Amino acid sequence: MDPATLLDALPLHLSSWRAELVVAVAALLALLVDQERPRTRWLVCLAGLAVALGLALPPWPADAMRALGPHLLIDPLSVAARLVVLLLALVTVAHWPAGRGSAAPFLLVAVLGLLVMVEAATLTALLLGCALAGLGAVLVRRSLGDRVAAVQGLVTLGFALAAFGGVFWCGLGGSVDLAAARGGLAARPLLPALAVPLVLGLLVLGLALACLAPLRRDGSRLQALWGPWFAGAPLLALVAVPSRLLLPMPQVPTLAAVPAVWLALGGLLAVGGFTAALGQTDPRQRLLAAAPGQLGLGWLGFAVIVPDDAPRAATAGLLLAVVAQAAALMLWARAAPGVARRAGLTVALLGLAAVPPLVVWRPRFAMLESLLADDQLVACGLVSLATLLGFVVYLQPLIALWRGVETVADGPDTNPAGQVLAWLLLGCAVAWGLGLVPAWQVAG
Amino acid sequence: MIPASTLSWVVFLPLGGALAVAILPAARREAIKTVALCTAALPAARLLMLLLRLDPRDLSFQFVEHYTWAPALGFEYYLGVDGLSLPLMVMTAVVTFMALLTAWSVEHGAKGFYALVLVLEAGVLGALCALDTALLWLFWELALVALFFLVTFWGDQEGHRAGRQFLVLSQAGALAMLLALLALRQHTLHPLTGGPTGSLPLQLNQANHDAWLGAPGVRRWLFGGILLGCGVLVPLVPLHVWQPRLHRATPLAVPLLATTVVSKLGFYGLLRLGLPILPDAAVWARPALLVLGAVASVYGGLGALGRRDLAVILGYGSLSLMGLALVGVFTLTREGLVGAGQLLVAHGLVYAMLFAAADGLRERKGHLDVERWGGLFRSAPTLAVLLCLALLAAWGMPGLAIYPGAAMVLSGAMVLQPWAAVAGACGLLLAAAWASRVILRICLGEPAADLGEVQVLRGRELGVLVPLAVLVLGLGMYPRLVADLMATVMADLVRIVGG
Repeated sequence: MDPATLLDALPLHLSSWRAELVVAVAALLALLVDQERPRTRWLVCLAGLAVALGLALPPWPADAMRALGPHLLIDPLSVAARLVVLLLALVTVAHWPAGRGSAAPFLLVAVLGLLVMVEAATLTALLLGCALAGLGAVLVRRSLGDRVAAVQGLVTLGFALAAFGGVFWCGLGGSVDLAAARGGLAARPLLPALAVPLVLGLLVLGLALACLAPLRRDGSRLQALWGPWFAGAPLLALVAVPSRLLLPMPQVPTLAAVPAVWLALGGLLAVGGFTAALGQTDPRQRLLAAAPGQLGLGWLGFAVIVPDDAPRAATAGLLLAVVAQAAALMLWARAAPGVARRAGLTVALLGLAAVPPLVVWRPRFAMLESLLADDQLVACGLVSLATLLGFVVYLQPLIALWRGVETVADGPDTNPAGQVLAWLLLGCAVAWGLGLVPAWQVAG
Repeated sequence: MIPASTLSWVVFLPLGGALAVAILPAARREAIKTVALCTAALPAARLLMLLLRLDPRDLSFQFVEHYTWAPALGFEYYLGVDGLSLPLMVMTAVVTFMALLTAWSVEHGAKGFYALVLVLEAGVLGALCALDTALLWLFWELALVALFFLVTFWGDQEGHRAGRQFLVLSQAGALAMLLALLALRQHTLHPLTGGPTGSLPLQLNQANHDAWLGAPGVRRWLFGGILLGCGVLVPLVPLHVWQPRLHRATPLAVPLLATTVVSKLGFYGLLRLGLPILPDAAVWARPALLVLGAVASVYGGLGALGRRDLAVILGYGSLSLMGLALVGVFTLTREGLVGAGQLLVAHGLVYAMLFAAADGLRERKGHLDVERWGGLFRSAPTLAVLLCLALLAAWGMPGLAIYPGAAMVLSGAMVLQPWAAVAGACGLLLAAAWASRVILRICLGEPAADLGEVQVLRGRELGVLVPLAVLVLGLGMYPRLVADLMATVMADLVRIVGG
C-alpha cells in the first residue's frame, strides 16, 4: 500500500495527543540518563510533565474525534481526565526530593498508560494502557524501595482478568471498537441476560485490580511520596473506561442487568472503602484507604443509565475528589506545623466530605437528585450511607489536626516546590467545586 | 428605604467577620473579640430595622433577593423573610451577640471559637431566610458543621463523644432531609419555566403528584426524612442523646447556642418545609409527634429535677420546653401554632439569660454543682435577682416571656388533645419544681463555707443579662409583639393542613 494512502486511512491527528508524545519522549530521555544521576532524571521528567501539561491546556475540542487511527477518542472527558492526570503527576514528581528522581521515569510510564486508558476507543488501546499503567506503578514502587512481589502478582492477575473480559466483550459485540461492540451487544436480543454483566464485571474487576493493586498498603514510610498520584489518577481511569464502554446506553433487554453490576460494585467499594478507612489512625493512610470509596461513589452513578445526569455528576465528583485528595495528601506530608497548612487541609477535607459549598458537594447533590428522579432508591441509599461514612472519615483527622495531636508516622523529606503546587491544586479544586470552572461540560 | 441586598448583607457579614477574625494574629485577643462583636452586632441592628418595616399581614415573602445561581442544577440564590422567619432571625442575631459576650472568658483558642460562632450565626441566619431548598440545605449544613467543631474542639473527652454523636445523628438527619427535598424538587412546577424547582413555597406538580407523590406511603416517607433532619436539632426524644453531654463538657456559650439558636432551626424546618409541603403526612404523624412532645415535656422536667449540675439541669429544662412547643405545633390549631412560635422566641431569650448567668457562676467558682452553692443573694445580689428572674420565666410565671406562649399552646391542645395538654402542664409543674430547687440551693441560705467572697456583677455580665431581662419582661407584658407577627403565617399554615 502506498504510504500516503496509509496515512490518509489512519488519521493520526498528532496535534491532539502531543501531550502523550511529550510524556513518552521525556520518559525515554530520562531513562537514558545514568541512574546514578537522579537529579538530572528528576529534572528531565519534571520538565517533560510541565511541557505536556502546557500542551494539554485549552483550547479543547468541542466534539469528539478519533486519533491514532481508530484507537484513541479525544473528547471533553478524556481531555479533562488528561489534564488532571498530568497535574497529579507533575505535583507528585515536584514533591519528590531531587535525590529520589530515579523513580520518576517509571511514573511517566504509568502516566502514559493511564492517558491511553482514558482515551481508549478500542480494545487494543485499552489493554495497552492497562499494561503500561500497571507496569509503571510497580516499577515506581520498586524504584522507591518498596517490596512489590505481592503487588506484582495482583497487577498481573488484574491484567489477565481485564484481557479476558475485554476479549469477551468485543467478541460478543463483534468488534474491537468499544462503541461498535456496545452497539453489537445491544443488537443481540437472544444473548442471556447475565452474559453482559458477567463480562463487564470481569473487565472492570481486572482493570481495578491492575490499577489499584499498587495502592496496597505495606506500611512503607514512602507512601507520602507516591500517595498523591496513586490515590487519584487510577481512579479517574476507572471511571472513564466504563463510560466509554456504556454511555450512551441503549435500553435493550440484553443490557437490562448492567445497572445491577454498577450497583453491586459501586456499593461494595463505596461503603466498604469508607468503612475500611475508618479503621486507619494515620491520616495519610486513612485518605489512601478512602480513595476506593470515592471510586465506588463514582460507579454508583452508573446505576442510572437514562437520563445520564448521574454518571455525569459522578464523573465530575470524582474529578474534583481526586484533585482535592491529592492536595490533602501532599499538604499532610509536610512536617512543619502551620496555620496555612491546616487551613488548606481543612478546606480539602471538608470538600472531600461533601460539605457545601466546597469541592464535591455539587456533583453529589446532582447525583442524588438524578438517582431519585430515576427511582433508584437502593443506589440513593448507598450513596447516602457512603456520604455519611465519608463525613466521619474525613472530619476525624481534622479534629486531630487542629488539636495538635496528629499521629502521622514520620515520612521522608519532601520538596517545598510540591507544597506550592499543592496549593495551586487545591485552588483549582475549590474553584471547580464552586462552579467557577465549568466542570459539568468537562465531565459530559 | 431598604436596600435590595439587605438580607445578603445580614447573612454574609458574620462570614466576613469570621474571615477577619481568622486572619488576625492569635495574640491580639482584644481585637479578635471586638471584630467578632461588631460583626455580630451589625446584623442584629439591621434585622431589628427590618422587623419594624415588615408587614405581618402580607403572606408573601418580603425583602426578596432572587438571582440565578447554578442553572444547570436548578439552584437559585433566593432569599426572603416573612412573619415566621424574621422574628427567629432577630432572636438568633441578638442571642449570638450575647453568646459572644458570654464567651469573653474563653481564652484557649479564642480566635477559632469566635470565628466558628460567627460561621454558625451565618449558617442559621441563611437557613432561616433561604427560599430555595438547595440554598437552605447549604446553610443548614454550614451551621451543623460549625456546631460540630465548637463541641469537639472546646469540649473535654466527654465533649468529643458528644461531638461524635452529634456528627453522626445530625448528618444522618441532614442527608435524610436532603433526599426528601430532592425528591420533592422533582415533583414541583416552576411558575414561569414549568420545570422542576426548589423555590419555596413548593408548588407540587399535579401530574407527577398523581403518579408518584400521590401515594400516601411516599409522602409519609418524605415527611419522615424532613422530620429526622429537624428532629435531631429540636431535639426529639430519643434523638437528644448528644445534648446532656454537650452541656456538661463545653464552655456554656456552646450549649447556649445549641439550645437557643440551633434548636430553632429544627422547628423552622418543620414549619417551613414539613407542614406546608406535606400536610396530609403531617396530620398522619400528628398523634405520634404529640406523644413525643408530651414525653419530652415530662421526661425533660424529671431529668432536670434529678441532676446537680446546673448546666445539665438547664439542658433538660430546655428539652422539656421544646417538647411543649412540639405539642403546640402538632395541635395544628392557630392557638397552638402561634403559641409555639412565641414559645420559640421566648425560650431563646430566657435560656440565653440562664446560660449567661450560669456562665457567670462557673467563672467565679469553677463548678455548677447546685448543692455546693448558696447565699448568692448575699454575695452577689444583682446576679441573684437576674438569675431568679430567668428561672421564674423558665417555669412559666405569668408576666414573663414563656407564659403567653405556654398558655396558648395548652389552650390549643386542650381543645383537641386534652391528654397532651395535661402532659404539657405536668412539664411546666416540673419546671416550677426544678427552678425553685435551683433558687433555694443557689440564691438563698448561707454561703457555703468553702466559697469565700463572690465577686459582684461585672459590666460585661450586666450588658448581657440586663437587656435580656428587659426583653423577657417586655415579651411577657406585651406578647403581641411576636404573636401579631406570626399570626398570619400560622393561620395560613392551619388552612393548608386543613385544621
